[in-house]
This record gives sequence, structure tokens and C-alpha cells, in this order.
Amino acid sequence: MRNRPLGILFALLMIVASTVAAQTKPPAKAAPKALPSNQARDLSGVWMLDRPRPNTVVERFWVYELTEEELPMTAWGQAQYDATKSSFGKRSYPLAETNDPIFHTCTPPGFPRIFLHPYPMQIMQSRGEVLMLFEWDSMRHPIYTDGRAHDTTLGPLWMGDSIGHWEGDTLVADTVNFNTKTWLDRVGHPHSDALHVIERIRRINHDHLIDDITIDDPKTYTKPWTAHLDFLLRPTWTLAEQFCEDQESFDEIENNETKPAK
Amino acid sequence: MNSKLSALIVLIVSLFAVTGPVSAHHGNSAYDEEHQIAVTGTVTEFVWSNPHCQIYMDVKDAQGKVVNWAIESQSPGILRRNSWTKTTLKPGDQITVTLAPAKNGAAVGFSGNKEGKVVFSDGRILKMDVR
Repeated sequence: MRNRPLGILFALLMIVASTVAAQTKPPAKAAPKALPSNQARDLSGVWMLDRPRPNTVVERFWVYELTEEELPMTAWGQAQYDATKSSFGKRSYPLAETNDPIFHTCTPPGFPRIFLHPYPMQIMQSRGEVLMLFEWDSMRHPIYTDGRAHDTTLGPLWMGDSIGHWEGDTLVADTVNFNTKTWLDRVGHPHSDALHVIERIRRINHDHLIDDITIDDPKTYTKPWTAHLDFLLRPTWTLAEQFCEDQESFDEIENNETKPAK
Repeated sequence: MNSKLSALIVLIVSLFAVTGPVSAHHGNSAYDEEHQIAVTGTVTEFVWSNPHCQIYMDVKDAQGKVVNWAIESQSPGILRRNSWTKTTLKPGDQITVTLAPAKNGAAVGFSGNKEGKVVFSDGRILKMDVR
């Protein structure tokens, strides 16, 4: 009888340990649904960023950064990064101190940061254009595939100017003409007006889309670097109207978080 | 001995509590993402708005004092994909919300992560996850 409490404790530990083990074991995956060859260039559908989820947000990456790699910053780039005070990720600052450009003003997150907002993206295609529609702020990002050159008559732009072409079944998109009001990600990696984004977008099977992104910005980074994004088709989803509105009541909630406890 | 054992069990279970990532619009620094809690009370207001919906509810604290909690959820679009509508919550509804509480101890929390949920008095459960 004396050992009964210890027995209960041991049983509880076993339950907790098996629960943790069950949660960390990757689920068995069914074979991916093939895509008919005549649809290989059909990117249309509602897509959601698909990444393994860490058990705690203290771990980096998830929806906060494009890549887990340390980025090769120039002295200027490092100075810009050191000045950013993100409220996300490991380096996160209290809300009262953050200088995230979208925090108080609801300005657009820009491109490619828009991919890291946890909201779906819809791709629509017509002859000569692949159009990305983002639920966040109902933003749009056209990639013109009709052979035109970059249009630099507008801007500099929040989302940049994109042109693309097909290499086999891969859409190669090239984006320039960015303003410098945005961060590349949610933790504050900076960019300059020299930012050049190259994407290789491919639908690898019916339900999965990949986007291999190269960031080339010689003012900010000593060499180009890459990121890999996976997207999962969400056939039952539709994009909702979403605008970053009603900042006032939201600020009230978040101010309470940063005030000392009563 | 029994109370010490109970305390030890609570401590161990708390240490093993596996919580999900918070993807709040404005950051993850304000909420205690490691230790989610369940809060039970009466809805006073449900704000169906962007960028995130908000739930306000009266909760009795340990001393019996009623405290009005402000709970940050997700956008109407995300909630709709989790089977919510703008009339899902009404003042007077009795609910239990699983949330990440504010680190500073204020009656504020975030419920829009993968562990966050609302349990209704009839046993229905609705999540608020981004996917």
C-alpha cells in the first residue's frame, strides 16, 4: 500500500511519456495524388503554407522566417537588422517596443513576407498571367508570363513588379522594384531597394506546390540565399474578405498585455 | 504526503504540457506560450472583426471576484474555416476557453493557436486554428 502513490505517479508518467511520443511521431503519409501531365502547369487553387509545427514557438522558423539558415549580411544589412525590433520569434521585443512596420499602421507586409502570414493564397491563371491572391488584406500579386519586360514606371512598390516564364513545368518568376518600407520576414530581416527575388514555382503533385525562392540583394546580403516553401492544396477553402482594420480595439487588448498586472 | 504527491503530479504534468505555436498578428512575446490554461465563464461580448476576433467573458477568480477577460482569437475568415459564424457566441453563453495567458498576469489571452478551443456548455468544441 505504501507504494501506491508511487505507482500512480509512475502510471501518470507513462501516460504523459506515451502522449508526448505519440505527438512527436510523424503521421503515416498516403502516397501523393498524381497530377495529369496536361495539368502540370495548372497552379490554380487555394494553397496554405505547409510546414512542420514546432511544439513551442520559442523554436525559430515556423511562420516567422523564410529559412532556418543564418543569413550572410553585409555590414549595412547587419546594422539594419540590429535596428529592427520584431515581436516575433526568439529575438522578440515587447509589443510596446516593436518597430515592426505593420504593427500600428496596418501597412502591407510586402513581398515575400506575405507568404509568412498564416492565411491562404489563391492562384488564378489566364493566358499571359499567373495571379496570386492573398487573403491577408485581400492583396494581389500578378506575375506576367506574356513576355513583357519589367514595368518600372510605377513604384517603388510594396509587392514589387513580377514577370515570369515557364521552364518545363516550373514557373520562374522574377520580381524587382520594391520600396524599402517592408521586412523580408516577421523577425525583421531587412532588404534594400536592390532586392531581386527569383522564384521557381512548381506543382509537384495534385495537392502540393513548392516555391524555391532566391533572395539577391547585394546591399544587404554578401551573397544570394535561398528558401524553400511548401504549400498544401485546400480544395474546400475559399478566401474570406480580410482587411487589417479595427486597430483601435486591438491595440486596447494588446496594451493590456504590456501593462504591468493590476 | 498526499498533498505533496498531488503537487508533484501537477508540476510534472505541467512540465510535459505540449503547447502549440502562437501566431498572433502582433507577436508572441506577450503571451505565455508554454503554459496554456482553461478559463470558464460567461460571454459578455463577441467582436467579429479583423484582424482578429475578440471574446470578452466574465470569469470568477480564486477569491470569487468577477474579472472580465479579453481574449484574442483569429480573423473571421480563419474562424469560418473552423465552422464559426458571427453568431456562434452570444452574451450569456457559458463557455470554457483554452488560451495562452498574458505573461504579465493581466486578464488577457490568445486562443487562436493549435491548442486553443472553446468548449460550450452542451459539450460542443470549436477550434480557432489557422489550418
